[in-house]
Amino acid sequence: MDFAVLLTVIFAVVLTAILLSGARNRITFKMGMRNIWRRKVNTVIILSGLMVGTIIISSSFVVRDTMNEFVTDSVYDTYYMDDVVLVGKAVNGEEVYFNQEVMDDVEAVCGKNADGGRGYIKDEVSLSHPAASLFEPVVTINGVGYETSSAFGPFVSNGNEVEISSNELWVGENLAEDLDITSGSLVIIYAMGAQHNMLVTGILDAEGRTEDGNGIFVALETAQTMLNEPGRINMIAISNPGGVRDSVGEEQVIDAIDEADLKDGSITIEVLSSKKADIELEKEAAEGFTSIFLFLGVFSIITGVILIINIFVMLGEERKSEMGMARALGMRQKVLRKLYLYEGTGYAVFASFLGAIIGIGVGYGVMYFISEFMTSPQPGVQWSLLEHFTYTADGLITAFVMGFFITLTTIIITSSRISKINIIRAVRNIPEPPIDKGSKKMFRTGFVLIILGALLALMAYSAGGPGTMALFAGGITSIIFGTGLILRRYVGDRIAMTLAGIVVLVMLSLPFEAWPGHLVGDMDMFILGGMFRILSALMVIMFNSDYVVKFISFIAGKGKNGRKALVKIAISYPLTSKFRTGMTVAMFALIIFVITIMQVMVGMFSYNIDAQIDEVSGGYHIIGNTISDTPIIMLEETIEQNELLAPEVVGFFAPISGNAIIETPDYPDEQPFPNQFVGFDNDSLENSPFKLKTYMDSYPNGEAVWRELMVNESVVVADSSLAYDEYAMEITGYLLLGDKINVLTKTGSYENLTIIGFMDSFVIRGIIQHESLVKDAGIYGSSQILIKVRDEGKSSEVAKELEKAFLANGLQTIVIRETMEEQLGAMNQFFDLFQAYMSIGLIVGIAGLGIIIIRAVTERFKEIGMIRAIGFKRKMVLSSFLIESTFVAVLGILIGVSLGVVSGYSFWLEDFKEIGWSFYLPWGEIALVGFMALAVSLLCTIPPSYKASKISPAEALRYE
Amino acid sequence: MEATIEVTKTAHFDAQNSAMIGFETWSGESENNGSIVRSNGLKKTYDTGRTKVEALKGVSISIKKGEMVAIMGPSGCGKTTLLNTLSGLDSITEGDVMVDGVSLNQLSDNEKTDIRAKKMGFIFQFYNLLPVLEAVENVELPLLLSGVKPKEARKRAEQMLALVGLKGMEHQRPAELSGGQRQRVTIARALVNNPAIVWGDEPTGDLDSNTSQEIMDLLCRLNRENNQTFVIVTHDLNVAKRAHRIITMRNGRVHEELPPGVLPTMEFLEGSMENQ
Ligand SMILES: Nc1ncnc2c1ncn2[C@@H]1O[C@H](COP(=O)(O)OP(=O)(O)O)[C@@H](O)[C@H]1O
Ligand SMILES: [Mg+2]
Repeated sequence: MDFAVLLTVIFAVVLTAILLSGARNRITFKMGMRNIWRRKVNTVIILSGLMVGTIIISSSFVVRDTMNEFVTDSVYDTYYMDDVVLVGKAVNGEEVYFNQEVMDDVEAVCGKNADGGRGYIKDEVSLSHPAASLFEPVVTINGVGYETSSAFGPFVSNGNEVEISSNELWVGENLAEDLDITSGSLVIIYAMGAQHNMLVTGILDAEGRTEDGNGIFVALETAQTMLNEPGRINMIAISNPGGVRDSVGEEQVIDAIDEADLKDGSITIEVLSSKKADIELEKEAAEGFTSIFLFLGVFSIITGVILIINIFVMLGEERKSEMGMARALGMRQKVLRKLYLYEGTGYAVFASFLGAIIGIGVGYGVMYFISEFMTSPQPGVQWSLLEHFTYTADGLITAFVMGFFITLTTIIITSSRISKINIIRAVRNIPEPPIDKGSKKMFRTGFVLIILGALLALMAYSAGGPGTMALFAGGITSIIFGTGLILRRYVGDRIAMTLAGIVVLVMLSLPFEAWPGHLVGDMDMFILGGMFRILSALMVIMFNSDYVVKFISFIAGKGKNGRKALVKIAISYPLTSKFRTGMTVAMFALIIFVITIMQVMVGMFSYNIDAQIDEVSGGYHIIGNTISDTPIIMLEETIEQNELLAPEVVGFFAPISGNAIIETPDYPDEQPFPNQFVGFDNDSLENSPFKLKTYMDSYPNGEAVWRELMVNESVVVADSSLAYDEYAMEITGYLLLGDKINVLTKTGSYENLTIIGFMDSFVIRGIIQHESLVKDAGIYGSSQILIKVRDEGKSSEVAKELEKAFLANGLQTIVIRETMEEQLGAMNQFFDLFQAYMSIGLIVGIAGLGIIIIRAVTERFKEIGMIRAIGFKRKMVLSSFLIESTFVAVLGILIGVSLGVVSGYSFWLEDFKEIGWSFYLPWGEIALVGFMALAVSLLCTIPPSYKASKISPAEALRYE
Repeated sequence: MEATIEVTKTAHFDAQNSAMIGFETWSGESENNGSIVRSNGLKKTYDTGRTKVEALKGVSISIKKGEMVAIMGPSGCGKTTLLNTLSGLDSITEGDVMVDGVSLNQLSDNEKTDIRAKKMGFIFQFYNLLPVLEAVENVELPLLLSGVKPKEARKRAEQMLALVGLKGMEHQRPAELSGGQRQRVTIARALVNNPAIVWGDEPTGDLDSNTSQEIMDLLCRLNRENNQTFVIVTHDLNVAKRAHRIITMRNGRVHEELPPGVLPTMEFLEGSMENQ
């Protein structure tokens, strides 16, 4: 909330200042306000143009808030009234049962900061429902009832509160449904090698304490008996004052527990997790997703800003003679600027307010799109985003104030340029003359740009690190533009600016690698590079507009002579109003640029799916994981004895692997976590089927890294999921190359193992060492296997058969291609969504084009009459305007597409070429977007163009 | 105020002499030519929704081929309307206009446009040129529109610009030319197509008197050399006196047709709508 409060205060101060100044200049203020409402249609168009930026900001906040709500909801569900969860840890770090009396100590330690504590058992058993022949290998059993207060809420069955007494068995609603269990069903619980036949007492509603509707619930004593842990528990939960979402004092409780250092014999009682920390973690994970919206939004916001500039420059032009008159009558420039300030403030307040509200709608649209049309990352689970649709006052206020300032700043800067009008030229409506060659001002500006650019580049260069590449590149760009401004004195505009433009264009199209290595570029470099390149391309085109006109009218005019004249006029107009046209072209170019890059990426991913599969799979087709702690020992024999599997399975990879706890002493804040300890044999290390994503520089290649594991017991390779990845959209690992870890196994611990490489694959998970070391840790079987099949088309069948054959091990299989294709599909959908979101920016561009065509029709009213008089038919006037808008749109689209393709290509060079992917351009899709953008633009410019063609020449020639 | 009238009267006097010269040149050639434009009971009513303005109340005139006719009259008497209806720029409410033997009433908008492109040239007071095109490009426009090959069109446009005294200015844009130069470009454009009729609505209205004389010299020479018909609306007696015939209008009707050498009085020309 702090940021929003700060913004609100700044907004209030600025608005008050403007209003105070308005009170002192009442007449000017009134004139400004009157300008806003002078022409209703105009006002509506202007307001919608000004709104765009705010809509984008507001909607991306709505996306953020909804995603946060969505991801945190499940955390709140799991914790319910619990806030901090404690476990007991043995010396080796394993979680173990402990004496339930510890609860008293915990309560004493927490004191007032806690509402209550509960000691309980949460463990896993298997459950079968014989009458329905249904079996669930892993079911959570909850032993409850040992609570110091009622702060944890009641259990609810059929809407009534119930007590869970000794020897009763309650089943969660969803589990009951899965296993066809009703109250009174006979079920068998398998725990600690024994079977317990029990009658189900009742079904617990999926709400409150049992929100997820899974698991079975028994009294603590019952669980203790079943699990052979009399008088012991394995978890304690503390509830802080406050409800589910507004509990307080969590930090104090955690600190108190840490400080008290509670023990049960050699077992230490530690904090396992807390609601608040988990919420933060989830929010962080969602951040990646939501920040993409804001990042993409930046481009649309820029187009919005350009639209604002365009609108105000046009308002300025429209009022030029009026303003010139006012100036001639003695209105000073300052007053004129104030007039614009008041008017602009009025517009900004209205537009930002409406934009913030409409943004909620757009955000809802995005969420609707995701939940309706997209498959969620977890198969079978719907994105119930609409249920979690949220917007916060915080987001709305921030969007409003940010939108207000973006709008107002743009208006003020634009109008300060407009108000510097030349009185005579304004009154007589004569266009501003080109800046002359000897202009001292331009010359000086050139020097300033060079000096500032050099300073910026030097600073960035000496600093190094994240963000500096963009600053460095910005500095160099400024030097080049500055040089152009100086050169123009000697060689003229055309040569100087064309040269500068081309140099910048080429420079910023280079891959990131071409820049000095210590400068780090990211999305900032991407945005900046995109904008400057579009600017440069525009400069090159605008300063060579004569050639462009000649070239295009030459091509278009082949055959028919009349057409040549028509085309020449149609494209001469926009190329003469360089600023206006440049801005509109830039809007199209920016958006199409981003969309093209997305399409190149998507196209490349799909095109290279086989390469990707090869890359991660090491040539295998099916992944198998045993979910219970019973690794597969006799893989080969079992397959050979199976009629179905024997002919189909042509190879397998089954390194020994088993459960271990990983400690990361380099990261004191991180909890130890369970993972796999995997042993590769000599052969697999000698010719590892798996590529490494990264490895330490001290090894010449990936092979050397694998071989090192054969001779060095203090190094390991880890799977990619453990590595830190700043671009990933989900929670990733946090480990880096060179980090030291401890691997704790049943038989002891292996400490200070250095990570020398990360695999580029998810098919084998865990920490990898030579099998001799892993065998020392008491691991002999394989809990992860990879299977190569004879016929890839039969992968699914083989996978099912494998699950059956290794039922006792609880084998679960994944067909790699299916998973990859699913992921690709999910990715495509995300890109679809992003493109849909980008189309907001495209609409802005099209609106911009529409506005300049409407303006052009009014401005050229008399000229239209004249060309009609000398022989232009109605149809030709219509075509002339349509050719003009086509030209502007196509120019923008072409610049966007070509720069986008170049960027896509350099991404490929940088990241994908080395891993064996081929570059692929999805021409069809790119062309489709281009044509759609063009088609919509034409649809929007047809009405004003048609109006122009209907102008009566006699009428137009009379027009004053 | 009085001083201004005196000056104008002096001009009036001078004009009479030069008009005589123009007349002599014309009378020898024109007798065999039939009329190229003829109107019959031409009426034009503007309906603005709230009011109806009868701008032309039945005008019947005939203009011969090769004639240079000036149309004069007080402001608002319907001169522009007459020019626009005769040239097919504006629609006709009642009556008929024949251009080169064809009734405009029978033509579609496209056909009328074609006639304008091929047979007519226009010179207006303002907004004559396309600001985004160079002088030569402006001039060649009508040629391109009537299907002349680009190379040929460019050649003829350059010749025409030379003829109006703008050699070397071909690649200037209108904004880079003076008022007189711009009007010469317009004339070049109006004549490049070798049109049968040239319409001018106050072609010298925005020019100083020297320039305006130069422009009229040019028009008269072209009229003489090419036997083209000129219909020129003007307020300027210096301009009108160079015509073969002056048609004066008043309140939407033809007031009188003055023979060569006779000019309308200032009082008539300054008479405003109020006293009609
Ligand atoms: N589009 C129009 N709508 C209504 N009235 C018009 C229109 N055009 C001209 N008029 C009226 O027609 C009359 C003749 O106008 P015009 O031909 O321009 O006169 P002139 O050229 O002699 O000054 C004037 O009263 C004028 O106000
Ligand atoms: Mg007139």
